Amino acid sequence: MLVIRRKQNEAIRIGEGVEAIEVEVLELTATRVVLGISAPSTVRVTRKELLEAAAQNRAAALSAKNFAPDKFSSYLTEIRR
Amino acid sequence: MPTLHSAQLGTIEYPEEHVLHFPLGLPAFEEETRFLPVERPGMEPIVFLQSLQRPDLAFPTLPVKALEPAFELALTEDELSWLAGTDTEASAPVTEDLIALAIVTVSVDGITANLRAPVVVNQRTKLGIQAIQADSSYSLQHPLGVARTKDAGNPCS
Repeated sequence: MLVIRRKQNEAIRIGEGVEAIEVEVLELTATRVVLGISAPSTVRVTRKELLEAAAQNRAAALSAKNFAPDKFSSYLTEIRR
Repeated sequence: MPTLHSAQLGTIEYPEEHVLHFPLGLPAFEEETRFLPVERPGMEPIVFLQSLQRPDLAFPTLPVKALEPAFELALTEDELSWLAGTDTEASAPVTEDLIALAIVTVSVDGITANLRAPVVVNQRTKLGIQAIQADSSYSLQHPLGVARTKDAGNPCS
């Protein structure tokens, strides 16, 4: 992983020309960094935790199909412990 | 009374006022905005969130408090506003109105609950969202126990 140190209002640029993506540090607080991202409209910018939640939801939906509700009974004893 | 033919839970009759509305859907299921909470005798405290748009989609969930009594829900202003809806009696939902449900995933490796992104429902407005706890140390796959099914005993015993 490339690690770059930046201060407030400094930026980095990824890629070149019309495909370039620019990430600017807009604001720093004790617990948060506010980033400004300029990217072509074809580039999708998503918070990573949202993608992770989406993947987990897909896995849960699939698992619920494969495990009939009555099968949960045996797991419930573990949950109730 | 409307009737639902669920792939996992069979035929269910339900009063319209029991329906939960998820204006944003759930991540990866953004189109699913209406869910029915279904409980089954003998299976408490599991609550199935059955999609009313997709009969084959039902998420098994467990109340977060049943899993982690010390769990503290953190909600952003935006999330509180989605849960409040147009409820004019309270600008922000009261804690007692909110219930957090962890979606359960069962795999051959075991059973896990998503404590990182619980489904939060305002029982007063019947509005729900999935609230990602970005600052929480809880996992998307919080282990609940070792996988074991009734018809598959331990081959070593």
